[in-house]
Amino acid sequence: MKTEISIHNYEQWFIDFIDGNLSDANILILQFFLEKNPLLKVEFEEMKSFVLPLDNIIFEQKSELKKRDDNFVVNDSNFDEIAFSYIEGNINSFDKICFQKQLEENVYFSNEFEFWKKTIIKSELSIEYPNKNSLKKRSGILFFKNYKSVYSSVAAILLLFFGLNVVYNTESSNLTKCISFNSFPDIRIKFSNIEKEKNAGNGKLYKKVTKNIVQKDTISNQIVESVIKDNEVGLSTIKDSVLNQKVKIEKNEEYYKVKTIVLGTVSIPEKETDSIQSIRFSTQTSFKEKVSKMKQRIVVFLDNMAYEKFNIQTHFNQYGELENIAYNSERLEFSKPVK
Amino acid sequence: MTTTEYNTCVDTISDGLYRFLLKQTNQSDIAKDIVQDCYEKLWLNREAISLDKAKSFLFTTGYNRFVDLYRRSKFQTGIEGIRNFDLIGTNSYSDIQDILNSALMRLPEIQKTVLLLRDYEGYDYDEIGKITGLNESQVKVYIYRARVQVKDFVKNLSVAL
Repeated sequence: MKTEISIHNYEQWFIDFIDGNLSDANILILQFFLEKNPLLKVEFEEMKSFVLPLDNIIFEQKSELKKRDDNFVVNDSNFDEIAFSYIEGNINSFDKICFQKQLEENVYFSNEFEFWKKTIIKSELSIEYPNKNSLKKRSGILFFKNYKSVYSSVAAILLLFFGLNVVYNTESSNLTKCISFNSFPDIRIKFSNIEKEKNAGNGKLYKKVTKNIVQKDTISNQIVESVIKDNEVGLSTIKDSVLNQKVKIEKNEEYYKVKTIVLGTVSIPEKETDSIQSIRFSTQTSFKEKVSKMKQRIVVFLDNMAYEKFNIQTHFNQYGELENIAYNSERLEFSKPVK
Repeated sequence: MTTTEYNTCVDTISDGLYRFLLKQTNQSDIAKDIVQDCYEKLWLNREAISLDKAKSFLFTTGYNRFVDLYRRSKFQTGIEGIRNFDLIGTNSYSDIQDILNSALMRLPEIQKTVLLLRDYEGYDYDEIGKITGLNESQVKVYIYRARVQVKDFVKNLSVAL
């Protein structure tokens, strides 16, 4: 039973209240006492405000201070567990020292621990990803660093150009005229129309690719959608003596824009291991699985050509036959006799 | 993530990712393809992924892609590795790295994964758990089992030699 509260012992009651040692009944008695003594109530409130709040500070090295009852004896049953913790860095410094000391004293454990140390797999830094540059994206105008890719790009451009001549000549006289006047239609090659098709014959998955080549004539400002059915490319004749054209491939988030180059077929190799040496545009190509892989390769290929300006000059002989195609950029020239 | 940051990721992470996948698949072409896939995915999601999350994203994507391939194609690199090892014999090991590679090939896929992430990339248990979809305890247990197996393999080989 607690002594009755009075002006002589109220401090003890205050402390008991703050420490949480007062019963509910005694708290009521304390409150009643404070109501009767307003000056002491002020003192009580001040006292409460000086109570330090709980802090979440934790002593991190707690485990370092602990001792083991068994004095950290390494034995057959716990050796692997301790060795693993040591290797993994999950052992505190005190246990580490104890463990090291016992290894010095025990040859068997010492030898065994040597094997444990060998389980750490060291990274073979000599192995590097070989095509790092192909993964990179360009944010501005870039130049060819790899001359091999320049030549393959040139080859592709030329193939495209051949294709251009064929189709313009054979399918649309208006387009031929358009080219003859040195206009630069915008061509957008989209990769969005990729569909899966089940081949009933052998049950394997094939993918059918339909390319929409959207062609916009900058002079007439008309958009022409062209679907090319045949990927056979041959030489054509255009009855102009010299035809100068600028070829530029621009890159966009969604598509590659090829100026002046219109059509052909995207020649996708059947085997994934085959590299793409040239691109011709086609509407339909079947190949086994991994459309995205092929798509990536084409994207990478077009990427290499992006932002590069080309001049292609075609020469025709007196009979209107294509004789020579010349290519040049700021740094490279390339000429290919046709006839 | 900007284009420059993306390209920095290519410079700093692609080698490690390739090494990790090469050890997993034991086939360089497949490893290269998966690396390409990972970076393509990173590029497509670059708006949502910050630079500090990129590494984790790439390894998670790479691991998931590998698991897909592993389950779908059932390419048994481990079995081939063991077969090769048995045929070649113990004298063909030129150094400890060769031995460890053979030991790695013998590990179950998940053990190999966690050990490579731990030792190659220095990931902690929590990060490895996020990449592989395991909890911390499982990660620790798999690493322990993997190390015991590697240790026993190295030890037995030493005895044989």
